[in-house]
Amino acid sequence: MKDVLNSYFSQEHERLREEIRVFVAQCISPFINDWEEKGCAPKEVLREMGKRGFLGLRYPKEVGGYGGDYFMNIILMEELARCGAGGFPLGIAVQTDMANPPILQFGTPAQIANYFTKAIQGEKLGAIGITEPDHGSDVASIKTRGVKKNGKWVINGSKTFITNGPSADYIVLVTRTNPGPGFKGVSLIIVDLDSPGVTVSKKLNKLGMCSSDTALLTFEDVEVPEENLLGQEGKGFYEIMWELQGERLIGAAGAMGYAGYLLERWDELAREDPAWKSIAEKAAQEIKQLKARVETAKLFNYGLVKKFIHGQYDTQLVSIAKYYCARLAYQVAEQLLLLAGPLGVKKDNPFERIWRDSRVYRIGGGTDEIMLEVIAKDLNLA
Amino acid sequence: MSEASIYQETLERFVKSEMQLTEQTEISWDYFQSAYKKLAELGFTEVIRLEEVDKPLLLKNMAQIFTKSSHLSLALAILWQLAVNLTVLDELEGFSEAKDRLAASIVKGETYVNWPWHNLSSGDRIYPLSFCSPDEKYFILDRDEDKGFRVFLQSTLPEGSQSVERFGWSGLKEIRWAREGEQLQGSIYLGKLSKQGFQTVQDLERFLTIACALGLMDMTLKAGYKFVKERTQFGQKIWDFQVIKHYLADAYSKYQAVSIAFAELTEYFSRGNKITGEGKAIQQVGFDYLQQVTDITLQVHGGSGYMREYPVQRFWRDGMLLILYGK
Repeated sequence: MKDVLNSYFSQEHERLREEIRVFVAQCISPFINDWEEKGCAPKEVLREMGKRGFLGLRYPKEVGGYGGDYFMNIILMEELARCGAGGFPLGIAVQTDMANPPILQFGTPAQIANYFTKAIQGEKLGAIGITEPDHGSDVASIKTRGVKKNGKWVINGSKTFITNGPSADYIVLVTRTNPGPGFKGVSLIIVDLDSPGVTVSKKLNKLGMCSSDTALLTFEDVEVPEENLLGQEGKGFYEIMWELQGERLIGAAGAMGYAGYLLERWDELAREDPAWKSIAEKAAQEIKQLKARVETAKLFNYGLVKKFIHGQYDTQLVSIAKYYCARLAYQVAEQLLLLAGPLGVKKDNPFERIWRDSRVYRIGGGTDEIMLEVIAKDLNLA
Repeated sequence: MSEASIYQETLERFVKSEMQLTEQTEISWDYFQSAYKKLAELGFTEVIRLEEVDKPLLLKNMAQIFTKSSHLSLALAILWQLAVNLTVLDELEGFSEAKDRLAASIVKGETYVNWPWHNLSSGDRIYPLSFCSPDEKYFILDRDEDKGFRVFLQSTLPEGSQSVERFGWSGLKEIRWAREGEQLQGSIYLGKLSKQGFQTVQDLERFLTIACALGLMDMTLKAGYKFVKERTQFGQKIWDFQVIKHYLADAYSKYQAVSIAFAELTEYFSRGNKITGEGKAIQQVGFDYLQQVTDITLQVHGGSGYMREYPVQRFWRDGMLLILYGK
């Protein structure tokens, strides 16, 4: 299966893969346990990744990007998985594929220069704020209010489960700018997080993804310049739905990155350690089945990425990828941990850590159940 | 519009008008013969011999279109006759008039040859796609040390051969006989099939089983979807029960994941690459999901799913046979 999967990558892709692999081995893996313990990674790593172009791989050079294609993003996610933890790469994915793409897509030249370009060059860290304490997937019901007053937006409300929240420089905030119910009054506003009235109410203590910091943020009479409205007023629902597609696609790629990494790690341990070897021999059939599933899922993802590069943007297929790959990654982690038995119990071995980390794939970016609703809504088998 | 898509559309129209079968349709030797000959008369069987044709893509589409005829057995009989048998003949080393005559006769629908599915290792010769007609012929493969196989064409069944009734693939039976003590009268030597040639045939068979599995999943999902959109219980369509909707959305996701991966594999195959490892992996996943998808669509039918008047029970049975033979 490796041959067909490799056929999507050129020599330039492979050079980049090697460069990222070395970077991960030297600058991330040795420190990951420490970052997991502290609950975040230092910003210097982000800056270094920005300098090397890793944060803007698929974006045009004119806006400060690397000028590559989406398969480079896939490489980044697959290689970051080798650090053996999901948290730090999640923070990076928020930067590369969640918080900032809407700025490039809907932003003014000034917003792109001041936020997007600085973000992909590692000078600023972004976050995206959708979920509220009382409203998760139901974007149309969000309550955080933005009111225009004396040429400024005055924002009140709170956002939770915000990845990068405690350390981000700014947030793309889903805000209700029209008091009426439903999705029509929703807008996106970029809020600098050093503005007076913004507080990190709580740094959240999570089951996994510990090397990414997550927060509950509160906005109390926060004044934001009027020009920080992103895109069109009242169109925020559509804009955030657009963003979610990219978030789900990179989520699917990341999930398969981890599943592939775990299976590789399993083989390495089986070669190095007699105890693992004995388990691996007994479980050979199960491992073979997991590998077939992961490789097939990667091929599925690459097929979608090819469509994505050619401008084909199928919401249902992206939802399927997110749903399917998230479940598969978790299944792989869980099954390997169960197979490992007592060898897997030690805290922070990659199997147990990714088992905890990958559980969130089935929740973040839309839970399994929300994904099934989206898939079912567009199901037309007549 | 490309030639390939014109071909596909015309074939699809043909299958819709000539091969729409019901639960009552008996797939028989005569039915198969008449359908195959019509295909040959309209030129559909010749296309596969054309040099310029993208064979993997054509076969993928053919498999999926024929599976839509609603009877997997008919699709299998046509595909193995046309794709597998002709590939076997193409892979035979050296020139032989007998080989060329046989290929021409297969294309015209005048000869039906059974191919042994070698992935069964019982030691018997096993031919799963037989209509048990006296007009059928059989490929006999004899291992030629480590070099591959010597291939013969056998016109009559040897003494002691048995036909096995199965729980699916209506109209088709399995023919088997023990190799030990077999007496083959009148067999014609066709040529040598190298190990590599044999691998090519096996890769193609695996490729076709994935395509058929996908066709079957598509059919059963459509049947399930139609039923739950029509059936009312507790005052609402059963589709409106979230659990039913989620069952089908989950099944559809699995189908799509394999379907898109298979489309990518087809492109890779079309570029002239070998697909042995890739085919095995995708087949394994495809078969897992075929089992799950046919099972869940039967389940959402409730008691009706257990009744022979609904096709889902047949898809469930036919799918299991495809898995048992195809693995």
